[in-house]
Order: sequence, then C-alpha cells, then structure tokens
Amino acid sequence: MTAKGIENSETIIESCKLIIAGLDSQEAEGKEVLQSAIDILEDMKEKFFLKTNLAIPPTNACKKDVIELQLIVEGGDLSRFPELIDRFRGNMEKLLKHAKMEGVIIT
Amino acid sequence: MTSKVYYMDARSNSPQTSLVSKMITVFEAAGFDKLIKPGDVVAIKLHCGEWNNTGYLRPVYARTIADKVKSLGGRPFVCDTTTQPYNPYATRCTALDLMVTAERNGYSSATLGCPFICADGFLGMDDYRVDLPEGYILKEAYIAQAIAAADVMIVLTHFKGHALGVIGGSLKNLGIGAQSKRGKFNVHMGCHPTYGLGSSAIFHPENCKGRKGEEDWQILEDCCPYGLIHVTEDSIEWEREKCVNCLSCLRPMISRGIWELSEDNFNATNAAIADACLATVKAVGPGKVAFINMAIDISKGCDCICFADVPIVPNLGVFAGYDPVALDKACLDKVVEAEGVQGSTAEEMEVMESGVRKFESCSPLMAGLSEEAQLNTGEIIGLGTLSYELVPVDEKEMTDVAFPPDPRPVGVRFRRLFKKLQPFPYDRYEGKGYNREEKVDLERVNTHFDDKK
Ligand code: SF4
Repeated sequence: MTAKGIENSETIIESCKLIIAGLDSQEAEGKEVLQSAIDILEDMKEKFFLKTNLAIPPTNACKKDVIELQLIVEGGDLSRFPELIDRFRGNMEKLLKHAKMEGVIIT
Repeated sequence: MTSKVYYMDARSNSPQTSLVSKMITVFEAAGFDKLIKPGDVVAIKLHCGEWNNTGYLRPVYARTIADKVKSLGGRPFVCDTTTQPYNPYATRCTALDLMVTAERNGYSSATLGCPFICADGFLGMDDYRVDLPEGYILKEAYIAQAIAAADVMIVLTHFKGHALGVIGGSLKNLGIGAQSKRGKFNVHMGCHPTYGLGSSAIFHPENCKGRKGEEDWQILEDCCPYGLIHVTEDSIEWEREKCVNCLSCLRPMISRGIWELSEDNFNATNAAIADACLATVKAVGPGKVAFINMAIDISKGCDCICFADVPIVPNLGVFAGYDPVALDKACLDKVVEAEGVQGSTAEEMEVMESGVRKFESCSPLMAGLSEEAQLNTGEIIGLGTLSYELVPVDEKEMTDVAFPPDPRPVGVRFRRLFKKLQPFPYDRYEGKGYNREEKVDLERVNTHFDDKK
C-alpha cells in the first residue's frame, strides 16, 4: 500500500506540471513556485518522512491548493491565481518545516 | 472470563462529580481501599509529562490518591522512570532531568504530600529482574527497583495516543513506564536479531553526502551515545549490529532519509509492552496492582512529547479495575464510539465519525500499526481479558476530598474576625463603600446574538 503522504505528493507533482503547462508564458513567478515544489517533492520522495502519518496533514493542505489552482487555470480566470499561489507557497513552507521532524521523540 | 471495569463519565456539575471526586469514587467502587494495609509502601505510578507538554495529568489526582493511601495507613510515593532516548527533546532521561522536569510540571513533595521519586535510579540502572516464561516475545524483564519493592501499586494513567504504541494506556504505563533503562532497551528490541532497529531498519547511506557534502554532519556522529555512527568523507557507516534501539538518533537520521524505521520493530515492541506489563504485575505481586485510567485530554500523542495538541475526542471519563487489558479496551472502545473534535488531527485525518478507529490514523508515526496489538498480546499471555463488563458507578458525597482546613460554616468562621478586620469599607460613602455611578446604561454593553437579527 502506498503511503498517503507519497500518494498526495504524486498528485501535487502531477497537478503542478499540468498547471505549468496550462499557464503558457504567463505568471512567471507562479511557475517558479510550482517548479520548485516539484523539485522539493521529488527529492522528498526518497525520504522516510513522506511515509509517516506526520506527512498527511501538510500534504493534504498542499494538494487542496494545487487542485484549486488547476481548476482556475483550466477555467481561464486567473484573478485568484496570486492569492492561491501564495497560500500554496505558505503550505509548502509548512510541509518543509514538518519534514525536519522537530520534537519527534519515542520514549 | 469477564473483567469488571468501574466507570464514571467525564461530565462535572457539582463537587461530587468533579473528576477528582469521581476518581476516588471509582477507586472505592473497585475495592482498592481494601488493598492497602497499615504500613504498606504504596507506589503511585504515573507519567509526569515531558518538558512543555501540557496534556499530562494534573498533580491533584496523584495528591488525592496519596492522601487516600495515607488515610488508610499506607506510605505512598509517586514515581516515574528515566526514559530511553538521550536526544534534545528527551527531558527525563536521567533522574536529574526527570526530577527537574517533574518539579516544573508540578510534581514535588510539596504538591503531592509525599515524595516524588525516580523509580529506577540516577541513570535508570536500579532494577529487579523478572523471569517471564509466559511472555509472548520477552522471556525476562527489568523492573524499576522502587516499583518492584513496593507492597502495593496504584497505576494512575492518562489514556491517550502514542507514536509507537498507538495507544498509551495502563499497559504502556507499566510496559514501558515501569521498566528500568535496560528494561526499556529490552522492550524496544535493542540488538534483537529479527526485530531490533539494527536488523530491521532500512539503511540508506546514499542519502548522506558525508563530511564533504553535509554541512552539519557532526550531529550525525554526536547523536549516538554509543558511538555507532561514523560519517566518512562522502557517506555514512552504522555499526547496526550493536544498536541498542535507544532512538536518540531518530530525528537526525529519519529526517534526512538515512534510515527508515521498520513496522516490524514497532509491532514487536507493542507485543513486548504487554509482556513487560505482566512482568511488572508479577514483580509487585498479583492482586496487588490497581489500575485507574483517566480518559481526559485525549491527545493523539503521548505526554512524552514536548507539546500537546488539541484532543482528538472529547473527555470520556474515569475507569478503574484490576485488569489492565480490560481497562484499556474499555477506554479504546469509548474512543471509537466518540465523535472526533473539530480542528483536531481527527478532522485532518478524516476520522471524525462515531464507530471509526481514531488512534490508528492520528497517533502512530507510521501507518499500518494496530491500536489493539498491546491488548491482544495481553490477553494471549494471561495478563487480562478483552471481555469486560462496564459497571457504571453512582456519584456519592465525597467528604474526604472536600476542602479540609476549617469545616465551620463561614458565618461562624468569619463573624468574629470581621469585627476586627473588616474587608468591606462600610465607613466610606455613607455605608456604600465605594465611589461609583448610581445608574448606567447596561443594555448598551450587554449585546446579544439576537440584537444582530
Ligand atoms: S544508532 Fe542505535 S544506539 Fe546509536 S543512537 Fe541510534 S538507536 Fe541509539
């Protein structure tokens, strides 16, 4: 069974790729955020963190963001794009913070 | 065979239904007062909480049991043990650390009315060996000496989740919490040929770029108190056959993907928790160990982490009995039956409905662990039974937990005193005491939801 964190990450990567493709030459800064998310998650897939339950809530949040982004890009109305990409960037930062596993202890 | 579990719910609306009163009510209903004879040394075993954790049991519960034990002629002490890892988040790994943390969390002789002690000595090496031929995986256990030496033990447990055990109930309070340091290595499968971390973890040296490539490589060597990790120029080496499973290197290693924990190690440890719990009961004496579970502040994580999240289910109540398997099972069933708390991990993990297992999704570090492993093992080895009868206990007048200093009615207590020292300034403003407005518009400030309609 694939861990939910990995499953979520794969969905995020695929969505990011589709969004980038759908943006053509517009939103260069947003594209950069999406590409860097792809690179980070590809690297993380090698790490144990994504197999843990700790990874589920933060990857869920990022997945929700990219699904919304994908919908608005497909719909062609980009008015909410800056707000959503900002939220996605914030949630990716939270995911990276969680991946450091600060405070994780088993006694 | 069915075990009786005495139970009161978590609602409080009177002095008799305070959770402190309820705890003593179920204590008596379960017959624990008959267990203690004058002169008995009584260990009250609990988890005193990690530094900055806020979910652990408030000291008032242990204080109340200690007072009860004293009223029965016993000599109580409250105790916890040193923990296994030595990492920066482990704040109870020596007696010195444990005592400092316990005191900061409110556990001291001043608050408890009896000593708080570290039951396994300064480095956690004071213990008593117990043979365990009936164990599922462990054939011996090492019990904290002060616990093994007690005549009677009251196991006071905060029921909640746990990253490894999935649940942290009575079984874990003893199966880990009553073991000495080497007892904990035993339960955690240190150097075990199949289930030890050294044998079962997946090692990825390729994820370490070595001294040349890792900026903070030094911590990878320094995190192991046994010196088993060596960072080379371009990778990392691990003397895995000597690994005692202390988990001090957990965060630096897994966050970098250098090793992956194994489900086998966790599953075997969970079975061993039940074994070690049985060994503890044997050490003190069958029929001499009483269990109380406080199913309140039910966080997804144990009190051994340095924070406590929003509880995953509401407070469920107070449970008491002689069978720790039945007790934990009763609490677990109540958690499954409960609805999840909005805004908690239960919501994030989509396990909010009644009837759904909560801990398995919310608590363990890894998916795939069972919340029943400790309990199933406990039944197999004869520690207790999964079949229980929940006995609801009625509230009763609790004179012995009422505020004790002066039982006189307040009129009798204070009338004479107020003649000498009057707190209300009757002598000012023609007897009204203070300079205040005669009348104000109270409606202006008392706005209610209905006003907005
Ligand atoms: S390598 Fe083993 S002994 Fe060393 S810190 Fe890690 S778990 Fe402990």
